[in-house]
Amino acid sequence: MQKNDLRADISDTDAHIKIGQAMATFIKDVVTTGKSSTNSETVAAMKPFIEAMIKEGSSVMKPPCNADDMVNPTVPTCIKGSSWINDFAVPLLVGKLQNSLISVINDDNFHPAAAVYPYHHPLLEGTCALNTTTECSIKHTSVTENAYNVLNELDTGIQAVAAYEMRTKMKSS
Amino acid sequence: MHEASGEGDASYENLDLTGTECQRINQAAMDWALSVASTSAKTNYLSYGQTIVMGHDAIQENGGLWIYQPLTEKENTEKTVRTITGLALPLDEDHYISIFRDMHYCKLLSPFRALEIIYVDSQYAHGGYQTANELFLQ
Repeated sequence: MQKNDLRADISDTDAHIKIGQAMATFIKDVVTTGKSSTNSETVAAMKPFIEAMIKEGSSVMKPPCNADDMVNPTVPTCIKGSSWINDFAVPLLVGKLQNSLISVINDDNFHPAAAVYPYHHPLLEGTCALNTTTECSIKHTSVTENAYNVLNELDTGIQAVAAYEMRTKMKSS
Repeated sequence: MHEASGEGDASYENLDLTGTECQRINQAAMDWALSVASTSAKTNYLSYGQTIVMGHDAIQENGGLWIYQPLTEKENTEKTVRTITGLALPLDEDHYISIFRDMHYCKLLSPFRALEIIYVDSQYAHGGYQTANELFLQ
C-alpha cells in the first residue's frame, strides 16, 4: 500500500507541523467551546471531491435505489440517479434544438444494466410543435448503473474509488 | 428527442452515428473536473501528469456485449498520453426488436473518476510515486 503512495506536495516536516497545529486547534476548540468546526483547508481540499461524488451519485455516499419500478423513489436512504446525467450527459447528447423554447428535462434512475426482470428502458414522454411560441418541455427518463472496482474494498490505494464507468441508457438523439 | 420536439427532418445518421456522442460527454466530465481541481492538482497534472484524451466512440451493436465491454483507458508507449474511449450502442427506429428501438447507450466517464485521474492516476507514470529513499525514511 505504501508503494502506491504519491509524492507529497509539501515536505514531511511541514506536514507534521500542519497536523500538529490542526490537532492543537481541535483540542483547544473542544475543551473551550465543546465543538470544533472543520479546518478551512480541509473544506477547500475536499470540496471538489464531494461535488464530484454528488454528481456521479457515488455509492460511497449511499447505495443506489435500484427499485423495481422504472422511477426510483426519492427517499433519504438511497440515491435515485445521477445529476451528472441529468445536467450534462443528456443535454450534450441532444445538442441544440431548433426552437429554443423547447427543452428536454431528464430524470435519471439507477438500475442494474443487466437486469432483465424487471427490465428498465429509457422513456420519452410528450411532444412539442416545432413552431411553438410558448415554452414546451419533453420528459426523458434515463437509466444508469455506476460500476465500481470490487478490489477497492481492499483499500490498497491503487484501485479507483470512483465508478470506473457509468453505464447509461438514453433514447436516441 | 429531436423528432419529439417537432423536427420532422431530424437525421439519425447526423445525430446518433457521428461516433462523437459519448466522446463529447466524456470530454465534458474532464473539463468539469479540471475546472474544480485545486491549483496544486492542476499544476501537478500539467507538469507531470499524463495528458488525458477522449477517443472516438467505439461502437457495439449488441446490448449484452455493451454491458460486458468496458470503457477503456489506454496509455501510449511513452506513457505520456492516456486515451479514454467511450462505448456506444446506437439503435435506430427500425430495430427488429421493438423495445430496443430509438436508443443510444453510452459507457461514460464519471466526473468523480475524471477528478481522481487528474489527482492520482495521471501522476503515476512520470515521477508521481515516492522514491525508494522516501519510503525508507518513513
